Amino acid sequence: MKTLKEVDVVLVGAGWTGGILGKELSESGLQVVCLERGGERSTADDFTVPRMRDELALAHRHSLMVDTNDQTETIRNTEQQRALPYRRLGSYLPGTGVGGASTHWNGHTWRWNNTEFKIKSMYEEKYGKKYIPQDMTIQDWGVTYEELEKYYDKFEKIAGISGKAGNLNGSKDARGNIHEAPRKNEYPLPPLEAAKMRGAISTKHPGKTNIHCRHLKKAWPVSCLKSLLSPKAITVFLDPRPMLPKPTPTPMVQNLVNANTVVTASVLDVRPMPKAVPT
Amino acid sequence: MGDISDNKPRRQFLKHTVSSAAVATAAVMGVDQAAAQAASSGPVTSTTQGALEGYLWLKPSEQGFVEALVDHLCPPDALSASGVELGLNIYFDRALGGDWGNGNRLYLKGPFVKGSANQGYQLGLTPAQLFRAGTQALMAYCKNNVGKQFDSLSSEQKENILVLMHSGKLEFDNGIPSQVYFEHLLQMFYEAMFADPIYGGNRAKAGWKMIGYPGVTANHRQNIIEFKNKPYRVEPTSIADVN
Repeated sequence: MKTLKEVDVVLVGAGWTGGILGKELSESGLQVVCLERGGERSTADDFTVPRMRDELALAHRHSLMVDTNDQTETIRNTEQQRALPYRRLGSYLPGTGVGGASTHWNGHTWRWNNTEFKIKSMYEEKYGKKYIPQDMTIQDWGVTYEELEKYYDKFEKIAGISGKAGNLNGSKDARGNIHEAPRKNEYPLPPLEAAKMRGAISTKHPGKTNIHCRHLKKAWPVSCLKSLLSPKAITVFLDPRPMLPKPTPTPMVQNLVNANTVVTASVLDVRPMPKAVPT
Repeated sequence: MGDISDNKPRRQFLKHTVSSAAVATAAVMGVDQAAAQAASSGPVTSTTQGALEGYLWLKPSEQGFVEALVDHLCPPDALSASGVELGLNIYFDRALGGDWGNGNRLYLKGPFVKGSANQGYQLGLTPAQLFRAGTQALMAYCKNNVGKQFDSLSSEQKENILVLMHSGKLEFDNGIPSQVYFEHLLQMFYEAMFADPIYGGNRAKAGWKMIGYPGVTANHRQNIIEFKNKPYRVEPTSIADVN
């Protein structure tokens, strides 16, 4: 067996995480090797128009995703079913190759706030120690928003995130999301022009939260033909996490529209939207 | 966005020389050839389809079936020319004869067990094998039950058979599930209709023009501003236009 020269750090996977770690560690003087199971990719060759707009190859033949012949798994919905191979990618899409999930990333970066980082203790604080059943495995993350703020800030600068701060050091600005946790700095790039998403989200009353729904975290790209024909047919999927008995106050949705919204439409998905599958 | 062929002499050359089939089609449609070539929105003024004529993979009997199928699903009418004129049959041929048809990115090791609808495709057949076996079974069904080949049936008879397959009620002698076969055909039809013309179908971007799809747009950022609350209807751009 060939023995390779020892290095300081070996990273498994060259996606967002491995890529950023590799950059930071190598710039700090360490020698870093990144292992990646998929192919090499470059921005100029693989992520430029028209190649990046080849819907058949990318969205339907899944050319950026893992080949099920290299890796797949068996799936079933209930314990009574026989688990069978996931033969062709469909309901979820494991990525592969240099760039990892960043190459098919949906274009939203949301900061969490302490209602997520300290979910257990904040529920207990508000509703009492007995509120969360003993057999529920929910727990705090062990880090707080305050500890992570500077890293969020750094990441947003690396990725060039657009938006308008709604809470800049405690000072609220209704052009952004006033319910967000306080930011030390403004977004690195200004908000994108507002796209109209009729029906789901209204921009009629800027500054007011038009939709209050704790589960509405992001809008998925529209992927049904109807959306091309009628803007009213745009579908917004809700985060399918199970509801806790009482909803918390409202993370809000306004800046779906005025911050990071990217609406794409798929012309090939003319099948009706699949019905929700009970889990 | 104007007619891209204006500043692409090579394409103009191809237009005038290579595609004899396109010319023939124009004649059949009663469209003056020169007029057809001048009208970029015409269904047969293909800019790059010269090389995409003729069959590579489909057998003659399958060719007749696919042509009848795509012309049934996309009849010539006010919205578009016929499926064959849009090259949908050629899309089938190239897709089935290519990597995808050969099972690229499809896990085909056992066990092969009928699963629930949520477990997805569970047959041990490549797309090409499924097409071939399903088509054989359908041909046998037509011969035994109607006494004619699919392409000789009336529109109503074709429709009835497709509806039976769609619901899974039609049972094939060779055990191919008719519903899975039908969905396979339907998915290929959608792709033929709306995938980039570089794949053989959607000729002259007719599928895209029909629904107002702009095609390969580099970036919609400016369009979001300019066309806010206005219809966005442009001459679609295809991969070949940008290459």
